[in-house]
Amino acid sequence: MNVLEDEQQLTLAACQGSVEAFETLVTYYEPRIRRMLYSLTQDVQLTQDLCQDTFLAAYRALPRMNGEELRFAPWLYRIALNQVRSEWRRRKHVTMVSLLPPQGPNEDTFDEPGEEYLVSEERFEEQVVVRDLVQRVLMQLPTASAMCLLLDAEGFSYREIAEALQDSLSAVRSRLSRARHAFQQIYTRLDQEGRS
Amino acid sequence: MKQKNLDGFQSCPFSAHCLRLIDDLDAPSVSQQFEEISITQDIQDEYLLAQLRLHVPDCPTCTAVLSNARRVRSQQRAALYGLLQENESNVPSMIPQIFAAIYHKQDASAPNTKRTQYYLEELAVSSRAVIPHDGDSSNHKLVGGQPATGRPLRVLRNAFSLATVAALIFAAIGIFGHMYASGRSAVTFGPHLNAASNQGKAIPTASLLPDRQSFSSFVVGLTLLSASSALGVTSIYNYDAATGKKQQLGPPFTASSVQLDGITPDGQSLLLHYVSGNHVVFQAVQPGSRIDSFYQLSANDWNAGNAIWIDDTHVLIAGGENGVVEVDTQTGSTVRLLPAPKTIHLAFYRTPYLYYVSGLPIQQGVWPALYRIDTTKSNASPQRISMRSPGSTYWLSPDGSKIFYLNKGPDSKRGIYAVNPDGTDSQLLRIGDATPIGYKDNHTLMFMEEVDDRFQVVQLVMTPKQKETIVMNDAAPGAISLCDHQVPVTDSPICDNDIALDPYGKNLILNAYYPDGKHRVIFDDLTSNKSNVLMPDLDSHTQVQLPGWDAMNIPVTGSSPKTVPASGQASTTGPQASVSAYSYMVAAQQDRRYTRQYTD
Repeated sequence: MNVLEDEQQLTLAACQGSVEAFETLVTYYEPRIRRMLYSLTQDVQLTQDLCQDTFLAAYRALPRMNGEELRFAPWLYRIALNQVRSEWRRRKHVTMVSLLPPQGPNEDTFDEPGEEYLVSEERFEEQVVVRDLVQRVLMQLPTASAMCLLLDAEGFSYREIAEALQDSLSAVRSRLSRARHAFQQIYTRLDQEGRS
Repeated sequence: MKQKNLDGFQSCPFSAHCLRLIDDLDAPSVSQQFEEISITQDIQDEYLLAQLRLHVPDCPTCTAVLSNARRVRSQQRAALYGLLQENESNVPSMIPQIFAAIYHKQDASAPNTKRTQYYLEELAVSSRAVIPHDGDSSNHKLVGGQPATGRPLRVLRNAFSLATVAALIFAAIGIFGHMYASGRSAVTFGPHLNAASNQGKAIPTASLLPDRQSFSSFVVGLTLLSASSALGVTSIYNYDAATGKKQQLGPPFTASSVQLDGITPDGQSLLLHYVSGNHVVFQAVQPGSRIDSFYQLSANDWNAGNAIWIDDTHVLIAGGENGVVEVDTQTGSTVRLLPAPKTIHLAFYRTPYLYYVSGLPIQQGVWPALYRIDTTKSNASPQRISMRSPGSTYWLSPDGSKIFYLNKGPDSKRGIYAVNPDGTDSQLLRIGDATPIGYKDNHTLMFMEEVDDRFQVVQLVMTPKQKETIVMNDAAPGAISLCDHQVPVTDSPICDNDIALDPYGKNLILNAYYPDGKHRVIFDDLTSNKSNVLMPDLDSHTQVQLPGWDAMNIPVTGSSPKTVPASGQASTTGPQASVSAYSYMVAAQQDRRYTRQYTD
């Protein structure tokens, strides 16, 4: 993930109460958080609410953080993604709460079929209306997989994705691999159907 | 996003692990630097990674699987990043509201500060923000479409704010217009020769060549991945543009990993590299000459990269424990030029500077950008030249005075930029998704753009008084993409590595993809506005590389390509298709030796 040149110093200063430092961090990360949230929600109003809540939550939490150890970007994304999770829970979007930690010890082994069921015809027909093919593909993936792909596209490393999703490195590797595979399959299917 | 069919490869139990650990395999330092490996699965992954690094170079199945996965990964990242950028513009910024909420909270202890007032006033021009005055920022919420309740009414201040914002917008428009106009100011070109590479191109231009017509042929690399065979084979051909006659450069390579790096400034040699056993082998190929490797790297060296010509006999090779090395292709003697602290992709060389793209693996946290380094100084520091732009090709102008590229990154507007070779004076020349492809005879930049499902070849305007010239209205009639995949809607369907413009800007070779899933190599005469189908109906098992134009002499063999009107869809139905150069070529590849070696 590309970071601000003095991000660590800014983070430290923000933890120590510097509003100017936090202001710089907000200026840099707000567009990124906003586009991530909108990619996941496709709702302008909700995106704005969650975006504001994310930064205010970060602002409130910073004084309690260890500025020398805090990696701001994964931490901030973690707050944002938790906001999304909370919102889905609140709205009872049961199909979208798959960001919850894996259930069972084998959930993240590579051979475990994770997203295959999503490419079934029945599932495909339940898709929400989205603007373009990529967004449609993204919306068909489990939220955690979509987040993985978006964080990867943003330039996050495995380690940073693991931090943001509060998951193990191994789990992130498996999830990202499965997400790429599912993305490709769904994309191909939607694309073919769009052409026919 | 086409996924290559890997049927025919022998199954390998490690292939699934390769897919799962592909990012680590491409950037091993990521996991090695992870100092908090405490989870059992993560430790097991480290052991598995070490095993795979030893296994993959000798496993054709894993090599092919990884190659395909890298391409798919790249396509997905580009598509998703494009979506993110688009989505960013779909939602208004919340920065003013966030700042206002923060400073409103601060007001509880220090009310009426100037900063707070500023943000509150800024919010006053927003139609949907609410700044609660209960002193608890945790309860700040937005109420769409309603005025801020409890917000002081400062009509005059708001009016002043609105007027100020309007003035700023108009000023910005004026400044932008000035910048845009100045960006289109004259850019001069002059002599320079160099070779082409994937992400940096400095091509020979007509006025500098001893013989204006010397670069009259082009190289096509064909890799055939047969479903009935276990592996691929790569054949390299040199085609005469005028006659369509061809000559095979060397014997077929029994490897699918052959990468054509570029052609010498004098147009007489082709540089390539491929994986053979435990080595990456570099060779210079000339027609009729024996081909020997002049340099090898360990295939286990994951920094092994590309190579570029710096003159007619010397190349620079990236990667390996020796860093960037200069190699004499005739003697094999090497000189270590630079250490290689990280993976880089060499772009081009212009004395004394080496230009390269760094930050290639996005997962390492760095967006790729063009850098340069003075090769004559032992302690020189890299200097960034371009904006961060993943997937861009950098074009050094013929006189070396400018570098052009299509900015695809987050730093500024998407469009063609020109920047001085020292990184100064970055100018936006043209907004939009146009892809530079080379230079016209008079040294102006040529680009390709998709307009109404047509692939227009355009000469870039350089001064405000000039107009852009459409050189060819549709370079690939009927095609849907000029990329080796089905491009998603958020990305451009034009890939410059599938396009080769000659140094005179008169002839064009491209690899075009059609709705039926086939792809064809097209030859365009930009003067007569005609398209010739050089290789029709290639399937997904055939990969094409177009490294550029050359000045190699073609003996009298082969056949001429079939010509189809530029206004119609290129097709080769009818008896003439059966005698196309392609059919001859495929027959040559599927010879007995190849079949015997790889069947089963």
